[in-house]
Amino acid sequence: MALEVIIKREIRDTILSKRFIIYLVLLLLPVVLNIWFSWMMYEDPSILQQMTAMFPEPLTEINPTICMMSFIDITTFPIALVAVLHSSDFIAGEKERGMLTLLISKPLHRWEIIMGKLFSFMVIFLPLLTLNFLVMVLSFILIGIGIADLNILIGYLTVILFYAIVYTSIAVLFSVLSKRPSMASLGTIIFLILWMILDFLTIYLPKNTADVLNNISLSHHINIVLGFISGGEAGIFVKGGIPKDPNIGAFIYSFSMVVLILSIMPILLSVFIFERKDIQNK
Amino acid sequence: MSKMEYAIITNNLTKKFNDFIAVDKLNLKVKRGEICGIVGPNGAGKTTLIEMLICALKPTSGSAKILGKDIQKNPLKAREKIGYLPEDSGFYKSMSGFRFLQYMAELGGIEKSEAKKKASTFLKKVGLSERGHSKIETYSAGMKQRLAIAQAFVADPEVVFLDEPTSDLDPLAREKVLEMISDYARKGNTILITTHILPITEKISDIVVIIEKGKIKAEVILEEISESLEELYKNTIKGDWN
Ligand SMILES: Nc1ncnc2c1ncn2[C@@H]1O[C@H](COP(=O)(O)OP(=O)(O)OP(=O)(O)O)[C@@H](O)[C@H]1O
Ligand SMILES: [Mg+2]
Repeated sequence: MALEVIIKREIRDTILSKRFIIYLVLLLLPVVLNIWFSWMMYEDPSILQQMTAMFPEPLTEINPTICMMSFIDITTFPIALVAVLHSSDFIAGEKERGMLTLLISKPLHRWEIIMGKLFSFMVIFLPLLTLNFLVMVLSFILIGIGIADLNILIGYLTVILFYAIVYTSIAVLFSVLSKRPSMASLGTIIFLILWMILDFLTIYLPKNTADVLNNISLSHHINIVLGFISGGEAGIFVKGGIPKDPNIGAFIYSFSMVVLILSIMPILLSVFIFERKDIQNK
Repeated sequence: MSKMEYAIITNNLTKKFNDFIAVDKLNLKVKRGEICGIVGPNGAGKTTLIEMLICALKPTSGSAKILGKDIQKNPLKAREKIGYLPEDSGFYKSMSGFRFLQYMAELGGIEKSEAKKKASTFLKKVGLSERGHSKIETYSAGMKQRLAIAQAFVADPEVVFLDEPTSDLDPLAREKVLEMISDYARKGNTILITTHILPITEKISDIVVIIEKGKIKAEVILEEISESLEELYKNTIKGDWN
């Protein structure tokens, strides 16, 4: 009952807020950039050759998979930004507004506040990202680049949604731990930057060390999932492209890491901490 | 004595912040339909007490019951019939006063159409009808405080906690609000109110509890004392002023 009330208000007020326009711009920007860039590569394949020079076999002709691959790299940053800007407000924002003790005094479970907000955001954010993705796919068709196989499309869409969900979960945890949304945002951003640095490090580290670090690398797991779903046809740049030998065992391991450890666990931890915390407006 | 005679019972209720004892083995009983004024110097523990009773702070030790429901064993039930005005009340500033009240009523378990009616009724009661549909961010300090007060009553609570409800109100608004509070208690509801303005406490309370350093220093039925509350207060509170 209270959950439903919270969800309705959150959805309505998010969509009507000024912030929402910023979210739309941030999320559309990489789509537009990528469509433009893909179109340029389509017109002048030499750009593509230069870009894929480090590949074992540099590409001479554009294809929809490579266009989506380059999209993932430029879209993760705005996705992280929107996820962090929005979710770090969940609890820290209520505290800053002086609304938190008031909410707590209502006959609702504390987890309903977190889950209500999380659910509302996902209901807006994930369809929006899907829509953006479809717009991009459609544009590739219109430009003449063509369309990738369905499993590749599903693979890339899964990647985008996974990034969004993981970044959001982590920001929620920081929001529960912080007194102000600005501190929560900052905390999450620093955490994500360190995490991304780790991703890049694994490219240059000796294989043994890299293999160990890859266990906690988001891009690594996402790349495995993508490689498997696409039947070994797709990958992401940061991890050096298409993963070799994406078998079912590796897929299940990486999939569970992303879903259980990196998405659900931070949320459960947030709820666990929030339920036990002393709440004051100060 | 039936347990329901008392709306609020605390039993050695204690809150420590690290080593600092903010509320110290406090035993308080407030009967149904009573207005209990809590007074005491800054930092006495008034807000901390209320924050425990609304289940925002976990007591370090001791227990408390609201309408017979234990705040630790049954926090959801204990909060079912309460209203609360926080000390530094905040808002969703881009909402209208009307929608804010409606939302607070709905969160309190009131069904949507009924919540809208309640929102209008309480906007009127605190004299905000005309501005009910403008955004809260355009309200003056006193208008915000009136809205915050309305919010505490909008979901039909049987026990209402008001932490400093009157500091920004103009004299007429203050009178109206106090009238509203008294009327509400007369219907059998219980009010716990803190304020530093002793004449206000004196005017509306049935019992007054004086707290200092987390402890009850005096508990009086106003009808039964001969001196004024101000005299009593000065004689009771030592203070750190020297
Ligand atoms: N989170 C906290 N950490 C440490 N000390 C705290 C915390 N919250 C409150 N206190 C302390 O507990 C004491 C009681 O505070 P409280 O807010 O209950 O006082 P009060 O009686 O409401 O005072 P006022 O009249 O100024 O509102 C104060 O000394 C305050 O500094
Ligand atoms: Mg106080």
